Amino acid sequence: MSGRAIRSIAILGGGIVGLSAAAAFARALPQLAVTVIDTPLDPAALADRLPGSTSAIHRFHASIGVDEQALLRAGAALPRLGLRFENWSAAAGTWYHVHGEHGALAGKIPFHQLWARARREGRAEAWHLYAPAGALAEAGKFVHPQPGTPLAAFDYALRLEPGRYRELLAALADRLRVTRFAGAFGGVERRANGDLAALLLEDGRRVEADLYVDASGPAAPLAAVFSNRFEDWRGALPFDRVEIGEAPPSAADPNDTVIGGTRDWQFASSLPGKTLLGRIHASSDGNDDSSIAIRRGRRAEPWIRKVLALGDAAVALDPLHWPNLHLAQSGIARAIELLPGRDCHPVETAEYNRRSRAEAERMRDFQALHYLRAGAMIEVPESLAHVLEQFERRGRFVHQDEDGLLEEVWIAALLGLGVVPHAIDALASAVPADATASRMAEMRVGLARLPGRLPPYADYLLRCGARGT
Amino acid sequence: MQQPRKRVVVVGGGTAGWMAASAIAKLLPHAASVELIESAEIGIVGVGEATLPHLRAFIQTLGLDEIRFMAATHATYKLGIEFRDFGKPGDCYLHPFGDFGRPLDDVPFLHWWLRMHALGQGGDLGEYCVANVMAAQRRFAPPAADPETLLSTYGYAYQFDATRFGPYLRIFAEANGVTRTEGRIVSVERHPETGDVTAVVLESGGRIHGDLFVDCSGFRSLLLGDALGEAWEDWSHWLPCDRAMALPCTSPPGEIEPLTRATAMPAGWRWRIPLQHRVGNGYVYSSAHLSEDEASAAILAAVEGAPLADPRVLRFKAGRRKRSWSHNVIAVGLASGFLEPLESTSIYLVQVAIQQLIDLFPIGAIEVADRAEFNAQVDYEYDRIRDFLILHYHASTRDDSAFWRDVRHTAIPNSLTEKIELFRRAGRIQRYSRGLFFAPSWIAVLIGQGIMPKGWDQRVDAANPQELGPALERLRGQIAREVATLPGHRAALGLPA
Repeated sequence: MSGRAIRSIAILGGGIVGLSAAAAFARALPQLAVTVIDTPLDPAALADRLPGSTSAIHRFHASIGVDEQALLRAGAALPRLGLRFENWSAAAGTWYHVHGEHGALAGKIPFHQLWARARREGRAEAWHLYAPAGALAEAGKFVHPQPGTPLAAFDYALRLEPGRYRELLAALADRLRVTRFAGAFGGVERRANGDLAALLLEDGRRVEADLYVDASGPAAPLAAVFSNRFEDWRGALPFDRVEIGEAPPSAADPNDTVIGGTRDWQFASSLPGKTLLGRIHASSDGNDDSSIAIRRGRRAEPWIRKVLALGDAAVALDPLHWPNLHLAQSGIARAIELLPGRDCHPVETAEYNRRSRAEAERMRDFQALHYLRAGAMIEVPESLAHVLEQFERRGRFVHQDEDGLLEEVWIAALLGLGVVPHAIDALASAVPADATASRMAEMRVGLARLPGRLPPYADYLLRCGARGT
Repeated sequence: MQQPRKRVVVVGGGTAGWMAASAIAKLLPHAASVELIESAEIGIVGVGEATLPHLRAFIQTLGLDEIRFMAATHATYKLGIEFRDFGKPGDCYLHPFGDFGRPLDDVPFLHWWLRMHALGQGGDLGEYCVANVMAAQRRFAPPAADPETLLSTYGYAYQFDATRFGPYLRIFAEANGVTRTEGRIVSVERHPETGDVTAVVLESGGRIHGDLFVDCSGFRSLLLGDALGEAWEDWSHWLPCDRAMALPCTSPPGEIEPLTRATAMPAGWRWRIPLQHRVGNGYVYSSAHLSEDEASAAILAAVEGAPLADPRVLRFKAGRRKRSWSHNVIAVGLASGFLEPLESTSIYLVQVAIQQLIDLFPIGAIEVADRAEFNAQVDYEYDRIRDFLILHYHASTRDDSAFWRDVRHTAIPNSLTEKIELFRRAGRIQRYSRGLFFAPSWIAVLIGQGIMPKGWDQRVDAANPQELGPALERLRGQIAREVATLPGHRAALGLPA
């Protein structure tokens, strides 16, 4: 590889996304010279500003050497168990979206099939109540998964305090000998063949590298030099504005709250020392200056020639289920896995782009599912229609390539949102209904006992040494 | 709530027919009754003697006892498929049912090996694959259960006498309630409005009605092809072999090889499948490049043992029906399509169709959406296997016959070009979550046929070759030592040495 390996990377953007990329590249490829140009933060960069993550964040943190305990102690993060949905759709009351095992009694028959039959017969409670994490969520409690106990098979995410999290990443980048300096995008210098020769800063400085990353936010001035082809998802996602506010810390809640409405939805998320509030709505519904635009779509080619777009420069969705930072981290990991040679040959970047598109579309579909069930008039993407049709008819979950969301995550949403299969598979229908119902009742009783023995969330956090709760 | 049981009529009693009947009767007794029609006068193709590891799951799902199944079908164990002379004369590599090494620091093993290989060190990639080393030493033991151990990093399949597999399953199927009707189908009756098949009429005059018809009639495709006229998608421009000359022979003395061998021939390739009691052989060739007499002479000259029959020719075409499920007819196996047995996929494709049929078994009326889903899943499998097969012909430098000159210069699907080019750059395999042939299979064939990546994952660059070299050496040594403790293949089968 030595003749064609990438030797240096210049990252435009020193927010969470840019620094995450810097730390990840520097750690995975210690031979690389990594430079971060700390541009002023674009207020519309959702991946940098919104603090939510998914349960995939642990793997990313492990890969860059970020320790969750350290984040808690620094007041940079709080664990999040699930999302509490209130008033989201007429069909569903309050329910919890949690990650992890739901039901565990049917051998090879998917539990949701049996649940669906019992539900239609009026013999099943809400889906989340058959999950250990759901029982905890409803009781407002949290512990880390405990292997070998009934509280083993679930997952959780982190809520990040953007300022402190960024500081921590900056310190990590410094330890990894990343070069950082402040600057603003001033233009580019191109070679005769059209490739980028250097990145020019406003103050006249010139930054040369083998690979350039645009992590500067949705405007993506560097990536835009080569192409601005954009795949617009406004038809599938109705809201294009988010207002963010803060409230003093209320009693810390292990769940984020999502409250639906006819013309908007709101969230509340406990962070160290405060509660983050948000309202997501449509600009056509009366504009306001304080809100941030949500682009809802993706750059058609996030990797084009020697420029890789990450974060909002590549893809943006609204905050529902916190996809933005997740997609940024996933893109960073994928870029390292598929890092092309110095020439950034189209054969190599095409595979990155193929996988990025598939992953982002699944996330878009996941959000669109929620809006569809809330009664919004949306254009249903074909891929989502396919998932819905198969699930609604017979509880068959269609797995699609590059879906970063586990099947259990989809099923928790589908059932939580009231998409109860009309029938169940022939295979599942062989399992006796009465015996299933009584097993389910027993399971429910066992799970309901779990939270009683556990400390309140705030006490547990103190034991973990978490700051600012 | 409970739907009335569907009447399922399985047409044809070969491997596909009895597999389908067994699975439906065993898994969906509450949802279906199964009647199978077969005619003793119609022979079965029955050359599908080599299987893939997926068949084990089928055997387990049915609750069959592996030892008895293997005894009944004279089966041997199979650790992979060996390809000889494909890339160029003299080449030899195994497509193993197992992994090459283990990932290190999240980086697939291949890249660490590529780095050392570029320095002229690191040995053969196959030395890092337990299945490879075991097959070369003609040993076998079932994989270890503990995923931490090296001896857990492979799978296995069977090589069996396909003419015995159907009859073996028949006993099981009949015990599970399948009714068997002997007879030759002379006509098919269809509903005047919907076009659905309502009944098949036997030579005896008997009429068998059904709700669902599973067409396992082989190449004839009696229902899907003949009666419903489902269009054929021809792939012979990519895969021109259209004949097989089969010839069983006696086993050579000594240890049985736990592998299927495919050897390139002037107008195609030849299989060799060692069973407990004999060796199956066959020459898959292109009739445009070789006559039947020439093929017959070639296979007689090539086999190692004494012939146990006269060479028998089979005729086929590469391709598939546009849809495997049309109206209320689901084609399984050769009635749905054919891909030459170069990668032992025939029974796998039967299994896929059965699995999808069970997953999508009609709950009430047949829904268009379920049919479309079934066909999409089957297409996905066919397309991926097709590309993988074409690779064996494309990635060759053979220049010694008109056949090889033709096939290696044939234009290939874009999907395959992309896969090859991506690998050539830095050893990466396009990732998919479903279907057949994951990274180790592609790596084995690509490298085995001379497509060596120019680069590798750059995370490997930071490693010091002075340390990496000895680390690889230790891994090779460990694999060799652990495999050396395993029993020989005959002993594993309980046969005298």
